[in-house]
Amino acid sequence: MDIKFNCSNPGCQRRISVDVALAGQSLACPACATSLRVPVSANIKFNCPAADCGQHMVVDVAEAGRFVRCPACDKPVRVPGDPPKPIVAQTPVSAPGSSPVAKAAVLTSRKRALPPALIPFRRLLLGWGLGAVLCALVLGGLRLRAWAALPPHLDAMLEETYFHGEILTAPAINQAGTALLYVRTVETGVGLFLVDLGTLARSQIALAKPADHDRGGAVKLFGWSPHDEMLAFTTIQDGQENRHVVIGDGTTGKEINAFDTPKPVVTGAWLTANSLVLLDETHRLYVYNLQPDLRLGQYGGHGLVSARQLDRSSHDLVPDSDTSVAYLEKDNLWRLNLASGQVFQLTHLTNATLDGLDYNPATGKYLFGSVAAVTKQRQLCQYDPRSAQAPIRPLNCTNYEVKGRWLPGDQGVAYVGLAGKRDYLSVTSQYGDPATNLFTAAPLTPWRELGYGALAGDAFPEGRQVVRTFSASPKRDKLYVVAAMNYEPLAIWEYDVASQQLRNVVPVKEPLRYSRFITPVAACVTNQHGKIIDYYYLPPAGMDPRKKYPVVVDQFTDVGYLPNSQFIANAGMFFVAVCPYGQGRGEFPPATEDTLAVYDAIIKNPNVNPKQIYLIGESAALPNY
Amino acid sequence: MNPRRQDQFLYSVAVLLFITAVAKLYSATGTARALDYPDALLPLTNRHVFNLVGALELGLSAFLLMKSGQQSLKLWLLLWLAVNFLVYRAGLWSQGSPALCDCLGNLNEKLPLSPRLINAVMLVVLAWFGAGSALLLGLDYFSRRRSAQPQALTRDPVPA
Repeated sequence: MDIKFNCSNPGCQRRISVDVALAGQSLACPACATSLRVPVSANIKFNCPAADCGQHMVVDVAEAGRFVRCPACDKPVRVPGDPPKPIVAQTPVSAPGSSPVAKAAVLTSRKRALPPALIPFRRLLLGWGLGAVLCALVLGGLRLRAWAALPPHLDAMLEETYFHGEILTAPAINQAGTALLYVRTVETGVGLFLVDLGTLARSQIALAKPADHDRGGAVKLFGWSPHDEMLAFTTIQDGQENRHVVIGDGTTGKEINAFDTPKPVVTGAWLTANSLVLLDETHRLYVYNLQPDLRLGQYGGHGLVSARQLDRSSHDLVPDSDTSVAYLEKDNLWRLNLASGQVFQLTHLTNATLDGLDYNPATGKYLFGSVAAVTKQRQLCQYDPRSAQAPIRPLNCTNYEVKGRWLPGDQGVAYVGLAGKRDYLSVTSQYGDPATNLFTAAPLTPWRELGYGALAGDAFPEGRQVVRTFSASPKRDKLYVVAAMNYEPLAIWEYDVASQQLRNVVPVKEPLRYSRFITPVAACVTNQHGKIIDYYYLPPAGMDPRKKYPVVVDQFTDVGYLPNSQFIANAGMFFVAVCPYGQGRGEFPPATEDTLAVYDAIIKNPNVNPKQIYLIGESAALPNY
Repeated sequence: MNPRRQDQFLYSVAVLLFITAVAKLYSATGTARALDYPDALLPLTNRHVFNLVGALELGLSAFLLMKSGQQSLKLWLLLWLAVNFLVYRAGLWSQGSPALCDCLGNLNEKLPLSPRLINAVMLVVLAWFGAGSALLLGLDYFSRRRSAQPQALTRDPVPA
């Protein structure tokens, strides 16, 4: 909108039109350069002053001080206000600002006025700038409000909850039974840790690159040398291949020697305090000698010596003397004498698959698992080379699944058993005695019965007392088990065979600072049809009984420790899952009616905020809602 | 009708249009797969709709701010835009889709507010556009009719 007025210079009276934004401002007449003040409004409103009239009138601002005729009473009426007056005396166009005072006034006026062509852009910038500021204020304010509502140390708590440091492989124990090596995921890769079994103090001695998403295979442990002077392991350092072999100090783990193998190492072991045997992924056997060893004949040279190309079915390398190694190949037990270079086939089994080789130097007996080709029955067998009549004898080990290990004594063994789709540790110190079963748990319900558990036992390794793997100490008197207790993440437990005492030597994670493990609460509700619906919930950490908390209802369940539910509970919310705890991850979500029945139950909880109940799920878990 | 009030209204609308336009144009640069899905009503992808409507809003915002005068034209344009938005929402509603307009694009996700609340706020903004422009056009019409006669007299001033 424009304001139109006349130049006040009687000799000019130029009709001037300016933008309404310039109302009240000063500018120079474009014709005579007289400095003018723009009227504050485009119109003048007034009433006819005649006593018997009072007609309301609106006239253009250019008529200020002039006379117009009232349309009602036809009398001449003077428009209020004075005609536009110059704020500076008339100044000739040819010499603007000739006096110092006038010059200053004109300059001031020119400084304030913007060229008319730029005025629209100024308005645009101001308007959009205001929009940007408003947007930033609203976003920032809301962010600030949301941030203030979050629990303190949320990020640190999230780190703790989601990254609990998974223990990847069976630990290695030194000959004296005073130190332990274990492998655990860390934020930057895979860490190798040394534990003093006396004080349980832990220190990281190496870091490996993760090989893949699961981080498995990034570190291989070869344990300690026979006199505990050195320890050895392999890591991934460059690329994706585990080829970097490190020999470290047996007490501190500090690197003494290191070398790379041509191909990734699959397994290895100390042969003597001077020699390591290694098997790579191409099934080539290597001997690494710190110093030349004449006892090893052609393989006794200094450094890494390629010993023999084994069959591609070979695995499970176990030294059985200072100069020989036993291994499994073509589903039989073989022995390689490194001194002579000769290979001996110790067993001649058919129709069976062998795995999990162990050797007891005290008795000279071998131990391995056998899977019958036809029946698929798994059993633990011993091979006694000194028994002429029956060198191979199956042991009576109930529910044997994998990894048998000799214990002290002639017949004692430990192994991972399987019952109800749950792994556990079975220990029998003397053959024929009842086994001690550790880390047992209720069986998973077959999926055919409940519709749950098609993935149970596969998706998550942890659960209520589940074994992943274990190692026996060199003296065979103690077992070190990677296992979960009470649905918590995996930890390492020491089991003393003689005293039958269990001790936690590596906790589930480093001491928690910002979070804690929330114990699930199992519950059930009966719906309108009389059906009992099991569910469980995790209450918010540090719940105040006088407060109300949000609720997150999930559709799938946990077989054990899962960070999602723990994080939600630690963040100050109820986590509810419509299924029995530990049942296993479901193939299908629960029925809608079941969830609604649980919903009706949980809103009766006085600590539940009924206005903040959220449903989460994945894939098929939500379309019904 | 007081022209200053019209200016204030149009200024507020221009600022709001700038915010919604920038949000849409920013959202259109995202990599979410949903941006390439077809719009619920228009034969365009969501990305194209964001770009198109964002550019339209930005242009209108600039026009409202830069162009002096022509208040009526501005108000008519604004009313037209508001009616378009209303028709679009009605179309969503008639299809049975959740009446949650992605008026702010991906900015919806960045705001710590529920989609329903954002939707309600955007509905208020739309009402401000539509009802405000319609009301001012109506008032302007009646104001012009009432002041037409005296203003004509001013063209013939009586000398003092």
